Amino acid sequence: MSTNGGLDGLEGLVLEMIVNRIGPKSAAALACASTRLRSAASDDTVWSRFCADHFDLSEPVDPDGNHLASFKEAYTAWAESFKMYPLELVKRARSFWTAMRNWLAANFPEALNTLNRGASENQIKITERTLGISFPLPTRVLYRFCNGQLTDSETKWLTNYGIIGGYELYNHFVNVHLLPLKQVVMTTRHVSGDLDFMAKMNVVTVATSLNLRKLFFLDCNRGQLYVGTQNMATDGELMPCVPESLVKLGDGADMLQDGLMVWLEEHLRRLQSGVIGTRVLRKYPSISLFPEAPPLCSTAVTNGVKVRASAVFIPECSNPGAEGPDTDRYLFAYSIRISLLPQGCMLDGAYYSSCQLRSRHWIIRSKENIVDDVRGEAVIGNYPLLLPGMDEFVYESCTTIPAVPGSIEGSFTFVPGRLSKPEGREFEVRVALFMLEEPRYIF
Amino acid sequence: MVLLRSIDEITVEVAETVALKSNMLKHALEESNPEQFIPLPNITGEVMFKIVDYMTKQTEFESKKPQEIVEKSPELEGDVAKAKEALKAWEQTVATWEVAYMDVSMNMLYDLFLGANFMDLQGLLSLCAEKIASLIKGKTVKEIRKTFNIVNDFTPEEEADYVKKYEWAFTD
Repeated sequence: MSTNGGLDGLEGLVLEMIVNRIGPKSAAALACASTRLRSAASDDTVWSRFCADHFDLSEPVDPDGNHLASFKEAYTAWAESFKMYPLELVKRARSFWTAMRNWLAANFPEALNTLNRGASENQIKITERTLGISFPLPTRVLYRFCNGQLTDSETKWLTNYGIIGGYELYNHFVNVHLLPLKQVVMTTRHVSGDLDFMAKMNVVTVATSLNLRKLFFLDCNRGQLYVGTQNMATDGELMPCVPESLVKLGDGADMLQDGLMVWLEEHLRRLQSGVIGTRVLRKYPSISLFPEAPPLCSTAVTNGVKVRASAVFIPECSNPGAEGPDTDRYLFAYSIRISLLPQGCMLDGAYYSSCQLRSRHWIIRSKENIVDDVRGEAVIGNYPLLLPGMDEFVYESCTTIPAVPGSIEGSFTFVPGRLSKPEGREFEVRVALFMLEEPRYIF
Repeated sequence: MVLLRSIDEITVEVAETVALKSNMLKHALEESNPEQFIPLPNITGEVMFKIVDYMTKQTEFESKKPQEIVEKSPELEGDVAKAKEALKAWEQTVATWEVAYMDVSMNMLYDLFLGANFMDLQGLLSLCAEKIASLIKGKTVKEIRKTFNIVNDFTPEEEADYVKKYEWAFTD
């Protein structure tokens, strides 16, 4: 039977099949064609799918989180609010922040509480005007979903809650926060007085350690993210934080992405996969950049003593551009975690309920060449005494190498019992080789 | 063999394997007497032939589908690549046929869509939905009305109100 009504005459599910395939813009146009088509094209099941596909929404809420009467209304609210951005970018940014918030909720709720809600278009415009720059599109959308972190550096605990995190090395404490727009303005102005390169490059600070030991700059023209090295103030030396090939702002790019977006996404991936995670530092939890999982973190067990080791590149103390073949250009901090397995220390068929470290031996390589072969007493002045089931003894130290990649391996000399009262012969505990990687991503 | 009869009393015989492509026919065959014909009360002879054409060709294509090799051993790497290419070529053949098949009038398109729905033929249903969707996507309201001969029963104010409310959809 021929349907005289044509499209108009198609019913329910059948029409829904078509509307699902034409997308929201055409669905709205279709809804304008006739009263019959309006009800089919306005069916909320169809719009809930559009909301999920385009904005990652599972509930009819507006960008501020307020509940609306229908998914169609929700889609409209989002489409209006983000009409200045490509849809894909909006979905990607929202997706990132949702996932990051979820990870923080499960692993680091204290930091979740420091995340500000999204900035408005107006706030972004004011920031741009004040600084005389234009943010790359991906960064703008990211700020629309989260306007950085609370950065009241007066409060001790806040300094540990940077979502990028960091490390502590002797007196060098770093914990990187994502700055809110207000802070972007203040910090950019504050540091540009000392850093001549900033005016020439059109960069702004977007992430810093609150003590300003480590600074991340976004190049608003080219979209790359940079970190300052030790020569930042004198020579304006910077290092790119993500592989250059991943920064895509040109016209031909199918998916826009700038350094900040790529950097944040990679950081989240590492958090989610457990490569890095939180640890308690100075009594407060914080995100530690020392890898915790293989392959970057090595593990070895010898005679019941377990040693885990990994390193992280420290750009703010490095000089990659320095001249001379043997010049130490790259500084790496490394973290060693030593513990005694529950069954205690086993040596020559006997069990001992404790053992103590006497000395260390490190072999440091730079591009396969041994550049250092050191022996010494203690580790950072300590002779850790290990008891079964005790928390890991953790310490950090550092080394510099002339070229990357490199590696460290070594051993510790232990005595069973304690140094003041040894119960058996000395034995060597292996520290399995761990890499000093060429920095492709710098956090 | 299965006998189908359209609403205008035209009959066609199809092999059982072909008929089973349609879920509706599959259920009907499970219940009815194999001697009897199966009536298609919503479908004219012309549309019936077109649908049978689809089912027959689909069955033929299925029987000629190249096997996929899923072995991971290195000795078979050459074979895996060849199998992949054969599959790709087959998919291309099917796609080309489908494009030619779907080159129909607007009326036939609707009838085919409704027929595929009635006979529960998922493949054809998708093809029709996709084709109709392609005729709507990217068009303005006026263009949509023209393509589908739709009568506008909104007042100009009603239309203007809607466009204003959903401004995002009507601006580029």
